[in-house]
Amino acid sequence: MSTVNFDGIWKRYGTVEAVKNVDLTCPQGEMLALLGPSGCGKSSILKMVAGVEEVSEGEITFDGKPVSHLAPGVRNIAMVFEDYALYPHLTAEANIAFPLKVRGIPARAARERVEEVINLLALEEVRTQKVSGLSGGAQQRISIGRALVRDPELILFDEPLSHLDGDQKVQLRSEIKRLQQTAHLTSILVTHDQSEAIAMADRVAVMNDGELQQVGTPQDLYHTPANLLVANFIGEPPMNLLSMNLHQSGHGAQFIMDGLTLSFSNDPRMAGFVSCFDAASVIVGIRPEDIQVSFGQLEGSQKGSVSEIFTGRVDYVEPRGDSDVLTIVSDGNVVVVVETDGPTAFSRDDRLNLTVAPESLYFFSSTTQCALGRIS
Amino acid sequence: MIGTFEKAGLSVRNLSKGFGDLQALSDVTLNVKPGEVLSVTGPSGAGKTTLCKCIAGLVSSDAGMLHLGGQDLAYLAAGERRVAFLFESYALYPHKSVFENAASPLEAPGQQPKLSTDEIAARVRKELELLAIDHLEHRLPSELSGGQKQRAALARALVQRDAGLTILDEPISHLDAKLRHRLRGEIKREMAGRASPAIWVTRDGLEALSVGDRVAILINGRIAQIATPQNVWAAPANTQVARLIGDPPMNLLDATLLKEGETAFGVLNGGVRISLPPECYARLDAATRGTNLVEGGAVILGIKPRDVELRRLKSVEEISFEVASVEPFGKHDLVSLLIGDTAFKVKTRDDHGLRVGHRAGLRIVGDVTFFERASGDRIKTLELSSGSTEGRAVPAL
Repeated sequence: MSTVNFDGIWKRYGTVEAVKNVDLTCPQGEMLALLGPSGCGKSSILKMVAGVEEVSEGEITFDGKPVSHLAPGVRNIAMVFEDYALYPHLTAEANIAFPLKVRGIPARAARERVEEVINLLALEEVRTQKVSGLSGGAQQRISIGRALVRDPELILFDEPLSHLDGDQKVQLRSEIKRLQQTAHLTSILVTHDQSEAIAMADRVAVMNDGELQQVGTPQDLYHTPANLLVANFIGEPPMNLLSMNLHQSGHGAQFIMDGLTLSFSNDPRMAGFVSCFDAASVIVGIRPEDIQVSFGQLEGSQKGSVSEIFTGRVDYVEPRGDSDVLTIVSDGNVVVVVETDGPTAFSRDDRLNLTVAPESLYFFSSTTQCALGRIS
Repeated sequence: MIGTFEKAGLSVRNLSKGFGDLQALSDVTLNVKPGEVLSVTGPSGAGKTTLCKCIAGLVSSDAGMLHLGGQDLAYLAAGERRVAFLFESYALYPHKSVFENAASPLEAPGQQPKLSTDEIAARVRKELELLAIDHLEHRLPSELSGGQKQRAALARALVQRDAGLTILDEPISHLDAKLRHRLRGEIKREMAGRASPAIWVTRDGLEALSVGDRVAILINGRIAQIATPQNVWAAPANTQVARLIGDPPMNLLDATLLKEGETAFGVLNGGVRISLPPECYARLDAATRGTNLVEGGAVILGIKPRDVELRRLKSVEEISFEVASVEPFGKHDLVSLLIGDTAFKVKTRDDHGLRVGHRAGLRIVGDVTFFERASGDRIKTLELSSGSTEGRAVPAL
């Protein structure tokens, strides 16, 4: 398998620019996810790697060798599709063996290779069954087997879990991850679902409107999103984003918007941190899981602590099993979403105290929408 | 006889429907109260859409009774049932704009009460704004993305405030996460304020918990369970329900129950034992009295991903499992351990430092649900950590 490099890639369809100057690297043995909403350009990149679409400008290389002029067949790329694309009347084994058969691999070598793949994917039990009767999860494992069997340079996964139900999706994604890591498969995953990208990929490239927004490990994207778009896209439920005015004081700072004030009035770290901001308005991001909620009166000691506390009423409770997501309307009518360990006994119109720690906050520029850093 | 509760709401009794050899629905019974949202979930092919179509009168049922607002629906054609229906396939009029599509049910000849053009426009615009497609009102469906079409179809369903029943079949599946989250709350709130019931169909178990006052789980055309979201999650009726509910769903492990002296064990395939505190054993014994289940009984243990702690290994002799994957979700990690063929999921916030290929032990710190292996039905849910013996995996003797 080889290292895949995208060097200043453009894709134009007439006047539409589907992919704009994307630089990316997928090192050998890694899985790179292309994540973004529909129309973000991720599928165009996939098609250009596979060779079914031409590159308008730029170059794709495998281990430094340009491939964009090569026909799809000679690139030695395998693909795993959303809808499996298996031959329904053939057995699992025959589906896996198919790519070797059409390439005229000698029967004995082919048998050995198919055997290896069946063992690797634990498909022994279903090998002689027709694929049409198997579960979606089993079918997708067979299609992965068919991709692996001919030792491709690169495996492309195109929304591989979209058609699966609940636990099958969860099981298969960890199987793919394990397989990818233990067999050191170089692979590119295209998905619109952040949880699939985070679960399977070593690094995730977030795309929007043809442009690469950020590439990093799942932890990077969660803890240090480069801009508002990434912040909005990574995390479920999504981050609260509040457009606020910054008031600096000697020992701290206040963030004020119509209906909500976050006051860190005695926090030198905060004072130091915001002193380099060059605008009075800033977008404050708070992840729902970083807000603590509690009932009851505020105590004096709590009020004086560095964490800011404000009050609001529960507007809506979404139970999710081991967590509850609360939509809370602050006393000044600002809507804030909170995720808390569940099941809880909170119900509509309960009054709650909300606490946020300064180091859990995210800050973005109101003008450029780029991240302004975090308090460490 | 129809009770008062069914009089104002929807009552489905013993509904069955087959298509040739396929029994799409078998003996489905459920009620939905006015202002209540019943979420209906299940795997693809479970009969969810067929159920909706039978209620709406678009498919005739083979057997069963349907009442809505006290009226027997058997004698009403689809157009007379006053059901607002969002189709999973959208079914938009291709030659009508977004606005005209959304307004179409209010302009239909049978619409009651009759609304003026201004009233219709006001209602339509309110929903288009809610769904953030008010700027697209003049577009034709062919000029819309998948998510925009879904919202246009949703607007058409939501404008029908006077409908006797609202059915939303996968209303938000094609929308991005942020919009989906907002709409779950707003649609739910709107439905709660109405004098009619609503059915919300989704394949997504998490969405079903979030939006339903109660959740109905449909499997192979049968109702497997109807309960509050909390109860479906805490006490799934059988292993099929358990596989659909939770983020991620409960871990399910085949085990055999065994008693030695005063101590009971659940023995997993491969010989790993999970010890059961004596009082847990007693309660399990009581729950299964007469069934002979406890002695050598074939069960399935259901363990929720957050009810487990990972243990770093202190010695090589300790029982341990290979780490199959680590999924870093930021607020927690999802670590999979290989127990036999099962990828056992642990949801943890600890700084565990584990990577694929490492080995780790585990300790149960919450509930264990016991299911009968033959039927898959739930026997009992017990808290293992309450006893002095902790339910940690110990090596086989």
